[in-house]
Amino acid sequence: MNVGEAALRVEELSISFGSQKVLSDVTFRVERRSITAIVGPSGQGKSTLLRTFNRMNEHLPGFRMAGRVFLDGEDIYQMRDVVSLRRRVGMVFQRPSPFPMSVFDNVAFGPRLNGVRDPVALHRVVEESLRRAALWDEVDGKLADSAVNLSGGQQQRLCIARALAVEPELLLLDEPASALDPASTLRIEDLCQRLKERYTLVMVTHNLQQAARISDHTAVLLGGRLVEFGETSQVFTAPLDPRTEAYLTGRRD
Amino acid sequence: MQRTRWTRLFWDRLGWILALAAMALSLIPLLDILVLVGSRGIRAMSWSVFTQVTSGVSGGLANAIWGTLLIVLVAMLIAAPLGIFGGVYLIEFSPWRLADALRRGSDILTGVPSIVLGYVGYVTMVVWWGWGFSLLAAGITLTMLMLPYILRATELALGKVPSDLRQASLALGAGRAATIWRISLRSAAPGILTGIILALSIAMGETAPLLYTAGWSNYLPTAHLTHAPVGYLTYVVWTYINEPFASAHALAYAAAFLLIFMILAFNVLARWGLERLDPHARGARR
Repeated sequence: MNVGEAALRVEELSISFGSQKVLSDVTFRVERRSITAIVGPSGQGKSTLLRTFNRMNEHLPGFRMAGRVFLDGEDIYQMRDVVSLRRRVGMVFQRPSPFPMSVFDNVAFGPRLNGVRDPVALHRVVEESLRRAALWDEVDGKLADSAVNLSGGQQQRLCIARALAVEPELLLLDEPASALDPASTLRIEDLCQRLKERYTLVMVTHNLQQAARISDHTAVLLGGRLVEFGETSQVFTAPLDPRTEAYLTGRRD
Repeated sequence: MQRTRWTRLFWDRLGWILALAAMALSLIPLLDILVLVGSRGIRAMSWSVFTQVTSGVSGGLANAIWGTLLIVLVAMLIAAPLGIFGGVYLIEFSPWRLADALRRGSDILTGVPSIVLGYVGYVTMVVWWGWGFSLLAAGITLTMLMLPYILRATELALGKVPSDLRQASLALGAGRAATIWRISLRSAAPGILTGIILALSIAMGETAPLLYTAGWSNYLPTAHLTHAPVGYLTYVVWTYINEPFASAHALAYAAAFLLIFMILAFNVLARWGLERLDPHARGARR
């Protein structure tokens, strides 16, 4: 780990799919052990930006990009091995996506891919990850049960545990609570606060209150451009760009 | 006002009656088959059916039971891997145009009358390649029959696997192969299995393609893949029902009963086996 280097650095990033430009000239940096929220209306490139950080856009047709993204000082688009990048960058999706297997096997999926076979070591990783995802108490003794039978909120925390099990540096969350009820949403938010003691989190959300509640930094994406980036309190109370204020107050111009 | 209410009631009732009548009409033949074949088949059942081979128009069905099982086993061993890998290829790898061509080809294969497939098998394998009536010729002919069903079922089941699951797997650092193998195929397993059972049931009930390729034998099947004709149950049903002897009729009904029973048993066993092997697949089906 490079001391003083940002966890994530995005420089003049532009992305288009075919002839459609999705992101233009986005530049910002994410500090270690912080939560950065990416907010903005639907269809403005939030998810695309997030998926740039683990190179998930490459699977989509017509993808083209310019600019650079550095993970801990290393240009991720120069990395030869996408797989090892994805083991450093975990991702949680909008809809809970437990695999149709047991709770244990879900969490052990990543470590097993990495070649961990020893049952004792696997069990330790699974328990540790479930504890960090604040799910252990609810599934202790039920590790062999099907993950599909958990509640939506539990499934989402399971997906977080599954992402944590490969020991990522960076955790990407794509609207992780938007498919959940208010109580489960609060649990996920609490969990994020605790996770930032160990991990760097980048979260896409269209829930402005959520961004204001839990994030340290906020990035506002409008029309594929980063119109505002700064400390969350500053972005919400004294935005520099008039477009940000219009968006935050729900005004249309 | 009053009139519209009565009119509505009339049409409502009429719809109900028509639907019920249609259901009864479609169920009657099924019940008729089950009762007729069931009652006569069970009466014809005895140990000798399982232990003896057919001789003339009497004896048992041991040769035909084993023959049917072996032919279907050979067909499934070829058709299942081909169909599953073909389905994976269609969904995951093939360029759009090629996939479309393959799909069309497979659809056409479903529409080819089975007796034509039998004739093709006869001309190529039995005569041209000189295998004679044989287990392998029969198995490969049934493979042609089963393949489109398994291919389509695999394709459909894979297509229904939520893309979220694939994305989640890729995001965890799984490669494409690991994602297909551990996530997609696993989620699709119940659907694929249903396709295999359907194909198996259809193949097991076929007569025409086997007449051309398996021939018929009064003896228990041997270990020879070629140059040895094989007996099978549908032959008994087809041939012996036309014989003017009671013993032949009894064997025909016993064979028909066994066929229905075996197909049913395959269905139940396969489902039970799947839930035993992979209890989580049940949740995934919801």
